[in-house]
Amino acid sequence: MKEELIRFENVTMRKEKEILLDNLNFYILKGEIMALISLRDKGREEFLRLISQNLPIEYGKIYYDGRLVNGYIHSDMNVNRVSIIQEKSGLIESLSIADNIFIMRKGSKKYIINERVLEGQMVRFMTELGLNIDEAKHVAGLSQRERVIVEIVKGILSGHRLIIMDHISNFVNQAQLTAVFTLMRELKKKGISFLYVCNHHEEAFRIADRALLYMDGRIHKVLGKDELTDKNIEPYIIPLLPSGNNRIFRDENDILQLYGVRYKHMLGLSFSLKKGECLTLLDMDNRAPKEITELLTGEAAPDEGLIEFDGRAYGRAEALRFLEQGIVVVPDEPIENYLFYEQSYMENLTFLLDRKIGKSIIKNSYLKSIRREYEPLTGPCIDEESISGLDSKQLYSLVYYRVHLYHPRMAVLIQPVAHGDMYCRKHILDLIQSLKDMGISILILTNSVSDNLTVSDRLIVVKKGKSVAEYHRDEFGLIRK
Amino acid sequence: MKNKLDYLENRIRLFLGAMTGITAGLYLLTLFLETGTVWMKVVLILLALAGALSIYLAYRHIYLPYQESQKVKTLFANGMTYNGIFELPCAMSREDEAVFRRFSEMLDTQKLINVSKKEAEYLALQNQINPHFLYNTLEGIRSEALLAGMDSIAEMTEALSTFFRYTISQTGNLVTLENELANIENYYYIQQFRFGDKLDLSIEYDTDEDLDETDILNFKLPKLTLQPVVENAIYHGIESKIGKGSLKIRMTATKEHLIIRVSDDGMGIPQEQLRQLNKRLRTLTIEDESSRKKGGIAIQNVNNRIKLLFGESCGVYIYSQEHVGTDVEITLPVVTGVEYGYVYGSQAEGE
Repeated sequence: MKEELIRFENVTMRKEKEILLDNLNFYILKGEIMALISLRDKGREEFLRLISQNLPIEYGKIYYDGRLVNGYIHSDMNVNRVSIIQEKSGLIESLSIADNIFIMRKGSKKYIINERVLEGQMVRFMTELGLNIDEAKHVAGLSQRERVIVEIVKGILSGHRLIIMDHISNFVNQAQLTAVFTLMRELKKKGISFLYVCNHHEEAFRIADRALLYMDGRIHKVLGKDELTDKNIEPYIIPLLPSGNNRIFRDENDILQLYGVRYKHMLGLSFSLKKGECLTLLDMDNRAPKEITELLTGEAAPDEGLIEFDGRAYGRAEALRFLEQGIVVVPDEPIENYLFYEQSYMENLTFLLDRKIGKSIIKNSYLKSIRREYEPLTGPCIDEESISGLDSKQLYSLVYYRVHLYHPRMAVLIQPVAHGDMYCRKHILDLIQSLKDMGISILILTNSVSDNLTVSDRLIVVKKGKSVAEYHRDEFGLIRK
Repeated sequence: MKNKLDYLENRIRLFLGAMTGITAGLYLLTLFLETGTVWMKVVLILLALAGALSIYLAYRHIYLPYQESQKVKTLFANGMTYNGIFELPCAMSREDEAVFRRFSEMLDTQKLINVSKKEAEYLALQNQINPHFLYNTLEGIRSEALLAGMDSIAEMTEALSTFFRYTISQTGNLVTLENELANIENYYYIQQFRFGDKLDLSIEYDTDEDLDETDILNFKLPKLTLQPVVENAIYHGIESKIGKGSLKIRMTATKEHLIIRVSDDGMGIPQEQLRQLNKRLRTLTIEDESSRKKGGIAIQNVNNRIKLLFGESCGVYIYSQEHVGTDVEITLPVVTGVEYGYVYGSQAEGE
């Protein structure tokens, strides 16, 4: 008979006057994979924290394994037996896998450690699961798939029965994701439950038994196993097709060409990006985003092969001056990695401008003119002295308006829609489309095709360091199917 | 028998005593010991430690329980909890606790359940004698009589009488899911004469190797739990929809709960109205004229009866999206044996 592992009853959580979680009701069964598809993220972080720790709540009750662990009358702040697997590793890189699993777990109180015993336990467990990872290996040398597996094993050996997989497709590649799914199915049979958190329903439907549609602190719908279809979710999602021209690209001149490039995991990678085109480069192994960026920004030179930018050789010397060449790179998670929170909105917006105009001090008249031009787009937040109070939509706008203002010839966007809820992703796609409408060539480097196709003209699939397939926009329907 | 220190009043007395002792100690210290002596320092440190410990203990065992009790009282005053007031983590005094206990006993749950059940029967009856209901049903009978002869008239009459009989004459609070579903099928049969092909009903069971359909059908639930929900789905969800409408009843049983989901693909409920409705469903609500106007009375009534019988952990929750449909999720304890006792939630919650 099915057993409930966690149950939320009318849980309401408030932060000051704002309701973060509004009357949440749901349960996860033992040995069930429940997906949490976030349509709008408000309160999502607090929701995940509340599952793992008994924080004070305004109303409702939370049960874990049949026991009342948190309620509106009393919250003991204790942690529940729940693991969260996120992009940021919870392991200590300088220690071995066995040390991480047995010594660093909560409740380990041994002063003298018998490594052979620990490794024996670890091997037994790994063998049971059909996993083949050298337990003596240091965490620093693990692939993302191995790291995820080790964190799951660590959680289970610590007695955790619920594992929250928080946006794992953002950091494991497609092949690795399939392997992680296989492991999840195996563990499910052993009674381990999962909460699979992601923004893309297609991804969730591949693995989930049921799905919670979450938006702004409320669960709008619980989809059963037989309801996990595009048709059923359609009324709850917005079309992601960006507003703008969205024209099909026809210019045949290349802006960027790679001929047989060999570097790290690239084994003779060749592709070209046409002027004004938006090309998505999907790397099934999730290595190309980092390695191509290293080559384009002059961090390294290819071991073999040739890169050309606008018809001229693009060697390391040119790459070191990539901004002057007209290339802008927007990193992964740009609102974390591309903005300066202690600076004002205008300082952030005009950050690249000194490189563009070749002067270290930007005239006041220029700044006034920029303010006049962008104020209708940004609204009053353009006058903010610090950007720390802005919401994610405003921050993403700032990232892309900076590129917009710089007006490069090519923008390299790394996993642009990997983060953010559905409404945020729609906004990012609109911003990318606006760059495209300005004639800027766009190279999207990603490990997940997801929503990137709605703005792309072409898709190239890279596998084991080589391009293995190419699709034009009129063929995208086939990929989606 | 509770310990004296289980009451806040006694804890406060103890704390005040400790603080008075520490203050007196400090006073005596200044009288009998010279400033700067080692003894003075030692005693001062000990008194400071005792003071800090008293304040910490007062915070943990007086302030926090007081805050929690105040929160529950506020929620009770705002109508957001019903049982909570009788489960205060720490009563102010023995007398206060006795008052709450007496108050709880005075609220005759049995009487409330009966009133609530009577209201459900009354609502069902009211709908049955609704002229439109009768007209449509009789029109159906007449059409059938004209077109197909006497057999179907007999069938319809039988369906109607079975429905009346189940609604009115069966006594007791709990019935088997099998009986409740038979009543729904009967109700659906009657409604089909009005809606024809427009209405489609399916019943599904979430079974596994340990639990088959028969096991689920033997679980017990309050009588007339499903009919008002199905009726609501038809009249507020499907009736005003253009085209066909479908109703799905899905039963899931866990070791802890029987969860019944009644889904329709009708008109749905606007989000703010849904929010308010779910907020009202969190606890027992006394129906006044204003709440009647807000709608959802039948579902609130079902929710009230469930909460009265099984405690606040069970009840109704609604998911809905306008122009897409509504899911009404009814959470009940797993009951297989004799009639359920009328003790507030003690058996269901097991807390």
